[in-house]
Amino acid sequence: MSQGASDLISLQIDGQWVKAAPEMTILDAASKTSVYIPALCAHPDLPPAPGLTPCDSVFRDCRKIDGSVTGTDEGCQLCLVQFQDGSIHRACDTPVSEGMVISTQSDAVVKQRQGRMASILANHPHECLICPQRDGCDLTTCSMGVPPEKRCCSKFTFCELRRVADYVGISRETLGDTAEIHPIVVDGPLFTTDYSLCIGCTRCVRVCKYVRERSSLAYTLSDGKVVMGWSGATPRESRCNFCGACVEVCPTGALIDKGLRRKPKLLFTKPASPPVKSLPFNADTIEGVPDTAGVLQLFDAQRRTICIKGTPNLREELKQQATSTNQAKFFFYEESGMFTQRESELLQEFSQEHNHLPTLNTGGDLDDLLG
Amino acid sequence: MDTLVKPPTNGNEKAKEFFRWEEYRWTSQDIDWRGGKVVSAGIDIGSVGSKAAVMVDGKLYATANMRTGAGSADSAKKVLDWALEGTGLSQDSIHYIVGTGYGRLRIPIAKRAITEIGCHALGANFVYGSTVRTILDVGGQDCKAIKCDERGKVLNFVMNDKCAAGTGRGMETMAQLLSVPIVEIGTRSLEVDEEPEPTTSLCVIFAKSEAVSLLRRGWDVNKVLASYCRGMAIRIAELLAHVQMEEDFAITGGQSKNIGLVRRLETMLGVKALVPKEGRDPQLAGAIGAALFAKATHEKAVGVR
Repeated sequence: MSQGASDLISLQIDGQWVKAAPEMTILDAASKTSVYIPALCAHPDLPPAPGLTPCDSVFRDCRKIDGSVTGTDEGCQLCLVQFQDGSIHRACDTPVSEGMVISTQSDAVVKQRQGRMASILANHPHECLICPQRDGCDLTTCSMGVPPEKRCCSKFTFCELRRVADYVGISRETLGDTAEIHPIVVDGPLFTTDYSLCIGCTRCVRVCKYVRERSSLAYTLSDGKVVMGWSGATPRESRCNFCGACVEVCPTGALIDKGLRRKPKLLFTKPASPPVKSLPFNADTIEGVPDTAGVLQLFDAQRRTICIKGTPNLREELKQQATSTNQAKFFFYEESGMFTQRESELLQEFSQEHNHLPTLNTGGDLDDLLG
Repeated sequence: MDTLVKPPTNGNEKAKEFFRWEEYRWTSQDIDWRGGKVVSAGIDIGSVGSKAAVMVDGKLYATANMRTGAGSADSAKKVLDWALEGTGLSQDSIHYIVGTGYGRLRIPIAKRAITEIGCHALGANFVYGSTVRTILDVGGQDCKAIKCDERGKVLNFVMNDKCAAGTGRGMETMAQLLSVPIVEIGTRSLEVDEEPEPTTSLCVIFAKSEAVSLLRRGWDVNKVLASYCRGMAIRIAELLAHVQMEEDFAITGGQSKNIGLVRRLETMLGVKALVPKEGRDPQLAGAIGAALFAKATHEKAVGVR
């Protein structure tokens, strides 16, 4: 791939030095480290969204929608990073340069990112995403009074929008109710299109244009917002041959294969859990923990959760854990009278994100106890 | 205030407890515990039922299932003692006991507590075989969908403990309302000429009043039960969708014995649920998994693993 070591340049991302080819973007370079930069429009196999040429009209459900070609899509803007001089840039389309020092988690970046996330979610049904009873909900009866058309779609537990939103942080205060939803669902033979769920990331447009080279999908601009649709009056007229690439890359439920009940392919590296509060795992900090009931979490040196355990006595349990494991370097706890229930809730959240339980819960010493 | 329309009965009505299911115990006739290397036990204290499974070298030896009383510690001792009744085996001769379930951390006689999610997966692997990949555990008050691998290791799960629709409590409520013994709900719900529409509400509280109005309309009890079971199956099937169900599919927990719920789930999901292996009780999956973990923990401790 690279011609030689002298062709690679070095840059620092959140304190980690990494070597990258000169034409790489910051986002590409970051993917070689353990640093996660959130993005909804970027995709490892596609050129970045900003700069993609719009069309003057698109078709939805055979109806023409006129728009404008003035202006261009700025992308989701979640991948913002901050340079040493304080300036903020998109990681997805900014090339690396020698000696760059980048921060992906500075206060300014985090704040802007959350603002962007709120804008993206404002027009996408988000009531289920911010609901405190979200995990384990079957979406059939709702005690929060959310009407069915505003509840989440069948990608509920695994959609990329949800994962990224959880990582970036959803601000309940800034998000009001979703505006009136008129689901514009078109049922084709192979996949379903729900335009009300589209966040305008243009991944589908780009995969169709650059990977499939058919340009069946396109976008136009309306009031500065991305409106995605077919380039021709019908899918057939748009030269679509139903390859399904657009469905694969869609981060929301806007494009779903019909009969989706199978394991989804996770294209991206899973977002890391958001940074949590943690205390160093040592005898002194353990002494400061109350001896009441609650749930503790143990983290390894990289602050990854390795154990979630409910207990009637937090301090005692932590002392016991200190003698039986040496992997734990940090910990945190919450007090809770309903500790077995709370433990199950936290385990559920964890398994939704990672597709397994924390290593010391049924992996670790229990793993080799299985047949 | 319940202005109840009571269904026709056979006349000798007292305040009968239709919700009460039979407690039971069992001992193997083929195994002598004295000849075994490892005697292990698992105790699953659930919100409605307490279960104990005693195994000798990984084979089921004695089991018991009774209603959970007010105190977890008492329930654990009681159910284990009952399982051991008549066997000559005393608690002291058990090499290792693991506790699980809602009350798992208040079982003094257990040496270790393991989350019921892990125990159910391992137990289902024992009850149903190594092909099971998706387990639906419908217990007394909550339901869980668990994804596991061929060894019974948990990969993912969703759990809903906020809604009792479809769980044991929901069925108990219906049994008492309609004066139908709870163990007959399933079979009677299938004895209908044609499958009725499900209850319009999937919430047990509202389904209760809906059931009463259906009776007033002239529906017979079986039809009301069918409508209710169908509604409950819909709600549980939705939960399974969120864990991307894969075959083979199996059901554990008390509701695994509700044929009315099981058949309707199979129809809705388009998948047949596995049938348990001979002599293995899916309602005891949690306790069985705990007993298997107990055996393995003991073997590891004494160095034979």
